[in-house]
Amino acid sequence: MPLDDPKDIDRFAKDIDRFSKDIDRLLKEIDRGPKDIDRASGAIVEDVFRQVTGLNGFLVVSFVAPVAGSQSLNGRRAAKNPMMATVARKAEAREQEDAVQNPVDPDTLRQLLKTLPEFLKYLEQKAKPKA
Amino acid sequence: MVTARAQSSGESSPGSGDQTPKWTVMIFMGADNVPGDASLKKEAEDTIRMLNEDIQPSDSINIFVQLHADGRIERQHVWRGKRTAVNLALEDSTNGKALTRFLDWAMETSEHRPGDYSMLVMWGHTFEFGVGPQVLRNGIDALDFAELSDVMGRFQQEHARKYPNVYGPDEVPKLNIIGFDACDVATVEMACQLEPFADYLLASQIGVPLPGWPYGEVLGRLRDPKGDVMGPAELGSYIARRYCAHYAAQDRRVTLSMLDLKRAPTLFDLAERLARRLALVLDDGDEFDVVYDLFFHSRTPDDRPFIDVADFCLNLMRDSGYQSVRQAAEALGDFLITPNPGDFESEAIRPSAVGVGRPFIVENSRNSADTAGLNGVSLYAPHVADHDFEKASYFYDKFAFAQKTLWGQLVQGLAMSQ
Repeated sequence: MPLDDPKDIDRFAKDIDRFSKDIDRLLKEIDRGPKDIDRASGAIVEDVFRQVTGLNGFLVVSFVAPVAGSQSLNGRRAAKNPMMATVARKAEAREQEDAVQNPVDPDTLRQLLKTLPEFLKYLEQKAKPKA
Repeated sequence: MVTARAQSSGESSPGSGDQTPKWTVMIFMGADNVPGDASLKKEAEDTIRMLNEDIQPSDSINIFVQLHADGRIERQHVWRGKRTAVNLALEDSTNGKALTRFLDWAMETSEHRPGDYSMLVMWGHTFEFGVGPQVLRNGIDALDFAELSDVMGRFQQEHARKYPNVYGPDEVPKLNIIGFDACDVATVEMACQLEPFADYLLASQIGVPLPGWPYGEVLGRLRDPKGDVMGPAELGSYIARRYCAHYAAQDRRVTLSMLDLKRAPTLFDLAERLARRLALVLDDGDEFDVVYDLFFHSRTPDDRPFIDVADFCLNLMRDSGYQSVRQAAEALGDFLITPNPGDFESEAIRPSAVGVGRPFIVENSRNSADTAGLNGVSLYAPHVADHDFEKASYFYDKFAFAQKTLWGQLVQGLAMSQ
């Protein structure tokens, strides 16, 4: 799905805007302290990836690390209940199935990939302990 | 829906303009006594008396009632026939056949034609995702909502086979409105379950006080229409408003909403999308706690195991830490509330008659501050109430929505996390 439709472009801009808000949120999370860094960065980066790659409703979950079983998260009540992990695995499987059935448009993907290294570099810089 | 007269006389297709549409209103009443529930016998009798006495006969409406009480079944074509007992030795009323026979009888008797309008009202108590409970030797049995859709499906097939000249090979009859004069039925699960059988669902998100809908008032406009006969969308909206106005005067908390079942497949997809997004992030303990509490903030009144969907979406958009969740919530919330202009061109049918331009929640009426957070449609969420979800899950899991989406498993997982 090329971004030549004004609605798509608008949507893309909106997503970028949200993307930057998520980065702000990530930075705030990191600022909370070392204990929360892993959890916060893990969860939010996954989420950001999900949505950036999910532009126009197409989701590329292959970019997303498996959520179920993620050790970086410190589930509270959720951790006590294996059913939630089962539901998460099913959700992941369904998302992957949808992604296979509705592959993302190559042009959109290309644009997203261009932003990826820059984004990762940005995260690395921000995650470094301050001198 | 169409019957013999249409077949034999070659009546027009819907909305062709050469006939004034009539309404066929069918009220299916379950008033058997069930332990723990208030007896409905008196209210049922009062309702039937109201239909006979408070509404003047009119050519534009045929009203049929079927009453199940004290182990007997009785039927009446209001104004035009006496109430008679169904001979259960001759007529099989098991496995939902009581309902299909009733529909068939009403359609035949009213000589329902293409272009006429139809409404089925299920009247009675609800019981564990079912309606019209009866005490049997081995316990309480109700027509559960999954069975109801099986029954409706059977009726569609039988009716289409009976009138092959009216329906094409892939066509089946559909009710215009299916209404529930019963508690807690305006749900996403019900909308998805009943979508193949009716254009609109008219039901309440909360309890319905006895004696239920004020039929004299709500059908009064059809008795004496000032101008054209109301279309389905107009009648549903009118019923919802009059019902809430009626109980406002009596200081009783009520809601009634009408949902556009033609758009239920989109609702299904968006609800599944939200369930997936939630499932994917709830291993984050902080997010889990936030979402868990948001369910409580969105719950319907009276300790019932439901949340208001639009309110829940709004709460997620405000408080979820995950953009993917916020986006899915926004998409679902917008779908429920945003008007849907669509394409519609017809000289014969008023756009308002068929709900052109209305959102999925075509009408949402409520009458008190207690119900201000209710926007017209609920979703099951057992953990927000003191509710035996393990017992209810036998019935809940029969819903197509519960079987095909992750919502049921998600909310049952939340309930197990308590």
